[in-house]
Amino acid sequence: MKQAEIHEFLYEFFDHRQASILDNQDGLLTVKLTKELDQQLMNRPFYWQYINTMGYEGEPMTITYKSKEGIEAETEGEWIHFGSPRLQQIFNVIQEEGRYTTLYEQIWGNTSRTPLYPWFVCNLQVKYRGWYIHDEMVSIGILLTNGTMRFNWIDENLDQQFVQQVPDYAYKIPYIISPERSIEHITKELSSRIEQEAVSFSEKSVELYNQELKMLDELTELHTEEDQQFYDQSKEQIYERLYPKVEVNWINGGLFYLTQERTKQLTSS
Amino acid sequence: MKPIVNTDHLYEVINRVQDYQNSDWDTFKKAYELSQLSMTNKNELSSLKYLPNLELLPHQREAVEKVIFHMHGRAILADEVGLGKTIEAGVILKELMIKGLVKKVLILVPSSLIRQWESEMNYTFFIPARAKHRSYPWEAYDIVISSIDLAKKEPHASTLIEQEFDLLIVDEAHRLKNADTKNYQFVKQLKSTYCLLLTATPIQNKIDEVYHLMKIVRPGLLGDKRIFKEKVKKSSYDTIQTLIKQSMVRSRKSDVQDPWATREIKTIQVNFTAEEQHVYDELQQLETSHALTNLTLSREFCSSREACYLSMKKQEKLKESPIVELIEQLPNHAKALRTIDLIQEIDDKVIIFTEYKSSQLYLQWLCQQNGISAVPYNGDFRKSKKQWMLQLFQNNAKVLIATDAGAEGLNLQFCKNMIHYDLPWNPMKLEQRIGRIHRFGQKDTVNIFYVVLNNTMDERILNLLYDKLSIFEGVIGEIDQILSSFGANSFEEEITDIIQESQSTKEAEIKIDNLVSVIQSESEHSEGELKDETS
Repeated sequence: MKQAEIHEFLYEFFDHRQASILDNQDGLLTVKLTKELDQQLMNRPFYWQYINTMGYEGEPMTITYKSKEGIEAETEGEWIHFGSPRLQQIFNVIQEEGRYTTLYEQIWGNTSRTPLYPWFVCNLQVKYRGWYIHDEMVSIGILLTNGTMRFNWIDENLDQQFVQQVPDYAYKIPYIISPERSIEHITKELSSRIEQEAVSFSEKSVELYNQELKMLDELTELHTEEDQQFYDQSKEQIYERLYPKVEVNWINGGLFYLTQERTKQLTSS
Repeated sequence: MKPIVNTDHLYEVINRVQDYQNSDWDTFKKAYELSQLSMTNKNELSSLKYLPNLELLPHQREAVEKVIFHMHGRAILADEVGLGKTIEAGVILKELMIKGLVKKVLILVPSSLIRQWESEMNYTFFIPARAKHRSYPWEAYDIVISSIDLAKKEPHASTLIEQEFDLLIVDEAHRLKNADTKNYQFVKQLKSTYCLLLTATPIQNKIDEVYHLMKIVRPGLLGDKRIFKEKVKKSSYDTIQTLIKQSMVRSRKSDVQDPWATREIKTIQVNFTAEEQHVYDELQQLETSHALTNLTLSREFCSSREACYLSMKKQEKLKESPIVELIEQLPNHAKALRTIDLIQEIDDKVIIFTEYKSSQLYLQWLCQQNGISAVPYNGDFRKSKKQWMLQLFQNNAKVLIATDAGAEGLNLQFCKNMIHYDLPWNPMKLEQRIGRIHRFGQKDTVNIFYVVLNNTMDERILNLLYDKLSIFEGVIGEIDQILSSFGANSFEEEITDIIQESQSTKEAEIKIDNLVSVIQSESEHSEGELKDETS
C-alpha cells in the first residue's frame, strides 16, 4: 500500500462504518468515531466500562488522521503510514470482521425460482518453515453438493457481486457435504500437494536439521542434570527452527451460494 | 522425507463458526487483500516496507540478511561500536515478528540502556516492547526488556527459565564470556528458539572467550571445549575465524564508508548581569543539608531562573530563603537573551537542547516574545503530539526546543544547527544530541554551538571536560559500561562527585584526567584485542 493510497483507504474504512466525516481534504481526514469504532481503536476500556455502568450515552472521540507528507495544518493530527500501529489496528479490524461469511450471488431482475448451489470457500495462508520461511496464499472452493474442488476460487470471483440476503425468488440447495467434512478433504488434498511440490524444501531442511543435531551430539557429554537440560532445550530449538514444517492458517472463508450457471462455469473450465 | 503439515487452525475456526458474524462482501474482499499484503517471501526482507523512515546502511542490511537467511535467526552481532547493532537487532526482531515466528521476546540489557531500548523499539520499529515493571509478572508481557542483574535474581530467574521464549536478545553480551559467572549460567538456561547476542567486543583477551558465547548461540559449532582448545593451538586463526563467521556478523568502522559531514563547533560566551552574578554567588554560599544541592541549584541557575526557583520552592528548608526573592526580582536571564540573539543570527532551522523543562518553557516564551516560531519537544508528550511537533518543526517552525529525554533516536537531518543551551556532563549524552542531526546521510556541515556563562559551573565544565572530548571518540557508547566494569558509577555521577568534592580547579582537573585516562586505556585495550583477533 502506497502512502498516497492511505487517505482513500481510511475514508472508505470510516465511511463504511458510519463514522461522521467532519473534514476530508487531501491527506487530512477528520472523523467523529462511532461508539463501536471508539471501542475498537481508542483503547480506553475503563471509560466505556464507566459509561456503561452509569447508563450514559458516552462521547466517541473525534480524530484527525494525516497521511500526506508536508501538509500545512494548524490542528493536531495523527500521522498514518504503512507500518504505523494505528493502520495495523485498522487492518486487524477489517481482517477480524472479514473472517467468515455467508453470501449469495446477486441476481438482477429475477422473476422465476432459481436454485443457488452451496460452495464452501476458504482462503488459506500456507507457511513453510525450515530451510527458508515462505508464505503462500491458497484459495480453495468446494462444491458441497458433489465435492468438486476448485483452486484459486477467490481470484476467479473477485469481480462478482454478492449480497447478504437470499435474492428474490432464489432458494438454497442444501449441502450434502458439511463444511467440517470439507476441511478434511482440503487438509488431505493440500498435504499431498505440499509433499509433492516441496521436495527440495524438505530435503534441504532435514539436512540442515540433522547436521545441527550431529554437532550438538558430538559436543555433549551428559554428565549432569544441567547438561541434559541444555541438551534437551538445544534439541528443541533446532527442531523448531529447522525441521521442515508447513502450517496452514485460516485467513477467511465461508459459504457462497452461486447460480447453476456460475457453478457450471467454475466446474467446467 | 515429508514435512509436517499442520492444519489445526482450520479446525479451530470451523468449530467456532457460530461465533463469527457474517461479513459483507466488500469487507471480505478487503480482508483477503490485506492478508496478501502481509505474506512474506523467502529471501526477501518483509519488515522494511513497514519501516518507511528507516534507512539501513549497507552493512546493516547485509547483517540482517545474513542472520535471517543464513544463520536462521541465531547469531552474535558483533559490529564495532557506533555501527548500529541495536538497529540490526530491531530489524531482525521486526522481521521475525512479521514472518509470524516470534511473539514472546526477552531483551536483556544493562540497566542504563533499558529506556533507550524501549524507546528505540517503540518509536523506530513500532514494536510494543516494555520495560519490566515491578507490579506486573513476567508472563504479562509479550516483549519485555530487563536488566540481566534483575533477571538473574530469584524469584525472577526461576520464572524466566520456566518460560519458553521465541527470541532472546542480550545486549553487551561480553558480560557472558566467563562461563563460571552467574550471568552465563542463567542465560544458558533460558529457553528460546531464536537468539541474538550483541557485543562490540566478542573477544577481549583470548579467542576462547567467543567459545562460550557461541555455545549459547549455536551449541556444537566449535565442538567440545577441549577439542576447541587444541584446534586453536594447531590450526590457524583463519580456520577458526571461518567457523565463527558461520554464526557471527562483524563490521568494522574502517570497512564502512563514512561520508559524514563535518562539524563546526563554536563556543558562545556570555556574562551574567551583576544582579545575576550576585544570586549565583549567593547560591554557592547557601547553607544546605548537602553540598550536592548547591551544585544542582547552581547548574539550574545557569540554565534559567525558573529551573532554580522551582526546585528551591519544592524544598521545605529553602523555599523561605531570601535568595528565592532575589530570583523573583530578576527581569530575565543573560544566557537566554544571548541565545535569542544567536537564533536570530542563524538564517536557518535550529534545535536547542536544554536539560530542564522549566528552561524549555522559558525559552519558548522568549522566542514567542521575539517573534520566533518555536515548538517544544519532550519525553512527556504523547506519541502523536511528538510526531506533530516534529512535523511543525520540519514544515513551519524555525526552532525546536528539546529535552534529552524526548529526543533519543530522532532523525532530524533536515536541520543543520544545534545549540546546547546547557552542557550535558556526560559525553554520551552530548553525542546522542548531536547524533540527531549529524548522522549517516547528512551532507552539509553541521554547526554546533555551546552557550556558556563565564565564571560559572558552565565554564568550569567546558574547560574540564569538553577539551577532552576527542579522547572519547569511538567509545562514546561504552563509557558507562567501561566504568561499571571498574565498579564505578555512571560518568555523570563521577563528574558530579569530582566537582563537588574537589577543593580547587586543579584538583578537579587531575581527577577528571584520571577518569578520562582510565576510559582511554580501556578503549585502547579493546582496540588492541580486536587486532589480535584478526592477526
